[in-house]
Amino acid sequence: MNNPENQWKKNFQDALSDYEQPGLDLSWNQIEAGVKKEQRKTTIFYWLGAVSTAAVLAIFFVSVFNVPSQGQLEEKLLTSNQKIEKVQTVPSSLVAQDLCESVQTVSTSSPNSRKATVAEENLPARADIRPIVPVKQSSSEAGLVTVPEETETLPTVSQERTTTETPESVSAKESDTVRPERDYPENLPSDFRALTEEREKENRISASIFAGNPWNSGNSIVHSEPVLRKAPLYNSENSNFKEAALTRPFLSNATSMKTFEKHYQPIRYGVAVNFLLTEKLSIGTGFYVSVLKSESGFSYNERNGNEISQTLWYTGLPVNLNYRFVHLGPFYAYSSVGAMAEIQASGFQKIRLLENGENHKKHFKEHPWQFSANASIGIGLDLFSGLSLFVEPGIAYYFKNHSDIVSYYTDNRFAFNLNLGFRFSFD
Amino acid sequence: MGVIPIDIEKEIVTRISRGDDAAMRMVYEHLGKYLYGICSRYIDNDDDAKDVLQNAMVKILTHLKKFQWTGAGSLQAWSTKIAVNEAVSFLKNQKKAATVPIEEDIGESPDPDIRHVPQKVIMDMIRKLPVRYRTVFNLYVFEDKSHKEIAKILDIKENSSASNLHRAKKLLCEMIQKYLKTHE
Repeated sequence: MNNPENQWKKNFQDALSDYEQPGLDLSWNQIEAGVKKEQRKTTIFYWLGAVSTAAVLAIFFVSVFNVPSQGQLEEKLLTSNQKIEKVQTVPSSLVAQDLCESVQTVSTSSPNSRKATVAEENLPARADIRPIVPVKQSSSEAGLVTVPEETETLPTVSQERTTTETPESVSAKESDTVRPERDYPENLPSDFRALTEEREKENRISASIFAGNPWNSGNSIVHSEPVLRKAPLYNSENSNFKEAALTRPFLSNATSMKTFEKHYQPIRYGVAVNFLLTEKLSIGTGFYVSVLKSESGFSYNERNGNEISQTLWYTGLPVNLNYRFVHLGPFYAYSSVGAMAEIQASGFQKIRLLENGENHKKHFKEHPWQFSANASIGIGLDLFSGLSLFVEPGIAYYFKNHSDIVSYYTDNRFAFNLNLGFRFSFD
Repeated sequence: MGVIPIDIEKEIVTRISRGDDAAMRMVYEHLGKYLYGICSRYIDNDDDAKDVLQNAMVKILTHLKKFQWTGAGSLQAWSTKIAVNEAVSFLKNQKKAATVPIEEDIGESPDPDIRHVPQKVIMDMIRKLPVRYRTVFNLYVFEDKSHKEIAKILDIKENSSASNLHRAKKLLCEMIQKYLKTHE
């Protein structure tokens, strides 16, 4: 620092080391209010973080550990009348009961066994039926093997095969009805197989309609010097801003110079269709329409300048991958990641000159593309008949679109959004 | 020598360690105008400079409990750094374009001689510099940053930083000569 070449630096540093700028009219109350607001924000942020983490962990653990056990599934099957109607095969106990009621003759050959011959037409083709009978312990001699005794009310029915079916052909016929692609445990009743497949066929396709960011909020930037990057909103045809850029030395002498620029969150409407890939994974696409509104303007000397309002219409095609990670009662939760390609279908600016109150309207000729990536988490509530209500907060990243048109997309690379809508599930 | 007397600085640090909120007001009362001067050196508009100062003060006071005192003047240095960062962030968000026409030949850049120029006039001269020259000048002279560091902070090329400093010095020399001629 003692280098003579840097002496001039030291002179400046010494000259202004304790300089205090006059005219500070900020009160302590303003500063204190700002500090308290910041402390509140920090507290809320930590609470939100804690609640979000707890919610994610809760959803994770519930989805992992809430898989119903095999016993619970079977219990559900047995108690549901509706499920029994869908069963493809008839339980052997019911068949036996039917057969017992239609027994034509009962013949007995020995005191310890009773057989009944049943008319062929009452027998299913491949039935091998044994009614369930109570086992009666023999009280005669200990150590002997006990043979179940048939009672009079439940005669033994034996199959009389008069067909030419061989055991091999019968077993082949049985195997036709087995669904080889399903790997069920052997001891599951056959009606469970039918029910599970029926349920998996549900909700392969769903369609939804929604609205995104239905409220109206905007980012607002107030400057005291003109914003000279692509001078607020559209530049090349906006001669007022072009002149502002060229005559900056003039404007720097102007008094009370202000500019503002405000971009409202896009309001989005859309329809989407989802196709189920696996039990929990689905892929979706759709058609979205987004409306982007912005306001801007600048003024100097309190009577010169202009105000601009801009409206852009974008149409987009999204592609999303959705994963439903939990379904508890009527509620379900899912996550979604995807991308969207949008094109500016139309847009215009309305310009009002402050000097004389004149209004001008300019339509945009270009149609720039806008690409974005998004991720979201959705929560839904099943209402009735395949209809559900969902809310889906998410975040989107908007890639540079190399357009001269300034909008919410160009000003906010990352943006939060909230979609609300109805979903219809059908097959 | 710092803006805050050493005994006041020690008292502030003591109150901070005790969790006494009165320390915040003391910091504002002793450093407010000084930090306003720093913000004004970077931002020529008074309203914007006050906004930046308010943001800087809120940050300083919110993080005051985390401040580690390392000796006389450390509180002032720490606060100054926060104010400078706020001012530079403000200017970067403004995305000010280089609207000053590019001179093909900048020639030599003599060192400005401010020995006979009052503090207030020096400040006014610095504030009159175009924003990009002013920012580079402030970072180079008052924050002792190298051109490499300035280029990284402002996201410009190192050569641009050097040329902006040369132009700032040249303009200051012209302003100083003009001032001295009118105040001989």
